Amino acid sequence: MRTRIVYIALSALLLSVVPALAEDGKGGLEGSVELLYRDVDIEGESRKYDEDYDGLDSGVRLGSLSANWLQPASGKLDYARLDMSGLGGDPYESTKLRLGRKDKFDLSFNYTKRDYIYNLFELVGNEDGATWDAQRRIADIALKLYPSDNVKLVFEFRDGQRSGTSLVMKDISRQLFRLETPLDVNEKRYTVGGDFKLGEVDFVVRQTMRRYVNLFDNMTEQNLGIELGSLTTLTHYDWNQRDSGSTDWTSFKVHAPLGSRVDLTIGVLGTFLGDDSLRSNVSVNADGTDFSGAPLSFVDGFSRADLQGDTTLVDADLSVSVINELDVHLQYREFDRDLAGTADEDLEGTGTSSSVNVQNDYSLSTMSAIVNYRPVRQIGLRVGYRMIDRELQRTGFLGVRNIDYDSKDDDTLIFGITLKPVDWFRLNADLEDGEVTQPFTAVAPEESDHLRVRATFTPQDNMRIDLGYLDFESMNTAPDIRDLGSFWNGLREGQSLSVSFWNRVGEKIDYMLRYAGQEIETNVGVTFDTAGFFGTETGFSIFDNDNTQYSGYVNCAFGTRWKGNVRFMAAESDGVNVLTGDATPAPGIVNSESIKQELVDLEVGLNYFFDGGMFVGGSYRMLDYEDGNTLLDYDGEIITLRAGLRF
Amino acid sequence: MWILRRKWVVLPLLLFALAAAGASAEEGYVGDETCAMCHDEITLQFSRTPHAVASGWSVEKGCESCHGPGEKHVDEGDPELIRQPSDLSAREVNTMCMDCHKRQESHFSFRQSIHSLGDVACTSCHNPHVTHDKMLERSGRQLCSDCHQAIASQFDLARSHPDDDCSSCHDPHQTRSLRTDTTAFRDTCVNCHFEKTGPFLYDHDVALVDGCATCHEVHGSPNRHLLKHEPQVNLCYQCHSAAVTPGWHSVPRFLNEKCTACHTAIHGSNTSSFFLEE
Repeated sequence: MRTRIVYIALSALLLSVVPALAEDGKGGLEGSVELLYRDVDIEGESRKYDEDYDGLDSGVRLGSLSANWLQPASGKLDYARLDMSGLGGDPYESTKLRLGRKDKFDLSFNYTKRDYIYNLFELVGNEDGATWDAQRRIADIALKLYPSDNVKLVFEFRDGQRSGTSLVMKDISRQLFRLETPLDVNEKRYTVGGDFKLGEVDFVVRQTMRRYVNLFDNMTEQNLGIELGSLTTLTHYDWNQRDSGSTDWTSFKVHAPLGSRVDLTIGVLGTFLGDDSLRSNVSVNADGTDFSGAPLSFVDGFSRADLQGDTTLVDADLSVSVINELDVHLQYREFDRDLAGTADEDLEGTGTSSSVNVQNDYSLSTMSAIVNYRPVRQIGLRVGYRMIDRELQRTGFLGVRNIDYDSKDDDTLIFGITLKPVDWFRLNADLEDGEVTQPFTAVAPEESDHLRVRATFTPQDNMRIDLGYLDFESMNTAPDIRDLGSFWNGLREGQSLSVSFWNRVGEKIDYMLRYAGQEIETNVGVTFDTAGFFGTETGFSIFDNDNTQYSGYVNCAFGTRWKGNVRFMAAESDGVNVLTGDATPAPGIVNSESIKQELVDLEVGLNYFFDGGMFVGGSYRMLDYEDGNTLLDYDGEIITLRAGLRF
Repeated sequence: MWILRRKWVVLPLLLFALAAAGASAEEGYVGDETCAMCHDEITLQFSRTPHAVASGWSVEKGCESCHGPGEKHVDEGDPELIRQPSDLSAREVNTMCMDCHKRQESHFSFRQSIHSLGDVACTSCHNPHVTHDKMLERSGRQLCSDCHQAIASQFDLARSHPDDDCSSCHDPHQTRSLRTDTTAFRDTCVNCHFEKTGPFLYDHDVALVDGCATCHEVHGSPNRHLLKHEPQVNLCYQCHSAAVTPGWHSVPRFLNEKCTACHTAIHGSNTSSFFLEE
């Protein structure tokens, strides 16, 4: 509450003094400030509204503040800029301040706050599985000093805080419990470095130290288990976990133009001078009963883990202008990350701990080449080729999950064209056609086609039509790791189309209308273990989803004093998820779920401007949400009153 | 050496050549004050831009840095006699801007950035005459919406990424358009979602290798947690169908569940190789 009062008082002060600060002539202060009062009225399932809008609620806010100050040769400062929004209690708050003097220094400060709310509803009913209510606050400050034209020194500090609840599943002696738990995370980053110019060559050096602490302190009482009719119960449960560590990385980049036609950039990043580590400590005590009514109790359970990592990343970009009409671009990347850890665990306090060595080594090597040819000003052609080789080796993940992957070759052909035959038309299209000899995981497809087209028509200066089209298809044929002689198939395909029309009518009205549609279908071969662990019933998981959206806005002015606006969006998502098995004799697994969502969001606003830049106004916003699960429906009205100043 | 013996001849010649080069560089320039005589409004506006600060305010060639020498234009009053960047090709505009900006770190590889390859001019997004932050034509994601309509429509959904500025994650000048590197420390997303940075004793390989966007529709989605599919089981089946689904996962009770209802630490865990808990 005190923070809100401070923000509001500061805003009122600013409203009163800025006219005096604003100056005519070169430089000076300009910007705007807006205070608002919002009244939110939701009917229906307000928890669903909170989930969708992260708890946007009623109250007085500093809607926005923007102040930009420039002053020639004024002494210690050349420029200062302040941007703020959402202060006073909105789910998303932001403050950005930047000031400095040319060729002397630049100082910036950023602060953001983000609220996240999720109510984990089931798809049927409106059971409140749990509320996931979290907040992130990130503040960073950066100072850049320019001791000479060729040297820039950089000092940065960043502090990230995450607080609130999370949801965890606890596997306690094979009994499953679902608990809300506080999760507090703190991360700090310290960076020093410099940018140096030596002749035509640029050098960029940074050293970053990251320190983090994650705390999971989880206590509960009278918690029911979630399986077998909730026969299991925790009468007392106390889990304390502290994960901490550091990640220090060094980066070095060189940019060197080799003559007027060749440009080379090489970057190296890695944990060369510092540490990449984790130390995890867990202690746990619990009392309860299992599904048979037997006591479920353990004392002084623990888990300890240590992990060390090494990372190296090398990037190189080379551009060669062969002739004025023809450029050749090469990109190269080599990445290695090796993680090795040990864990010692006795979570149930049996007195006998188990140890495991875990390894997770990943490497990636990629090279791409693109030829860009512009025979005439109206046409640009691109042809390219990309190779990716990825490998993962891991141990300590139990049984079949310790498989090593090697993608071998991932080859993609790249084509692109840009056409500007006349001033009022522009088209840009890209096609990627990829093949992977052996999929890395199922989501690294064996075959992948990807076509994207964008076209823009500007028949008049006050009119613009944009078209966007995307078509993709990915197909996997991955080995079944329980029967390496057999394979399963996965197909994911979709299209999206968007069309927008913008028009300015005279000096007073402009409007935009947009349609966006998307269709996605996935069809994955599934093996159900209906007969137990390794019994199989083959079948399919099919997902078919259509999303349609109409949106737009109208801005208009009435005379010189009144300005109005309308903004609207109507979105519909219609999907079905079907799981079917082919057990013999039937019936096998059959499960079908329909997903339907419709949201209408309409806002109408009107502002009145006084002489001197002061304005007052208001807006009315209407929300209407309908779900396939009607228990989640809600509708609402949001009325906002505004007052502000442009200076 | 020959050059040392003749330095009294060579040095004056060199100095003369440099002076001549300097003089010729100034040839035809008239200075901002002259521009302001006719274009007072736009010159005044320019004086409030970061470019004006960068030019040190007192440099006479503020306008002519981009528009070229204006002497003939002033003498004859012909608009054709001065460079109009709007008449140039995207490549020509970008070459002009890069003359000054190529040594900014984010612009090192601009020539092979997606936007440069697609013949998008710097002036498509930046307007050197406006005072807005970074002299951008429009603020926030409105700037990118005209060309990236499908993405813009995702941001309009109720569940969309809260950040209003595309450049928080994307650097439009880079070859790898995400602002920081996904592969190294998943840095683009964990810049804010830092509790998912790891390293984890048990890392979910898809997060480690393929990145967050494998499962999440990061701009906006009708689905919870910005997931690509709902119900979630369909998303997970894309990798975990025939592979790892032991018996109880087929019980109808679990077909309606979200996989992460049990596998809560799906991004990585330090105690459970099945990601059941942190």
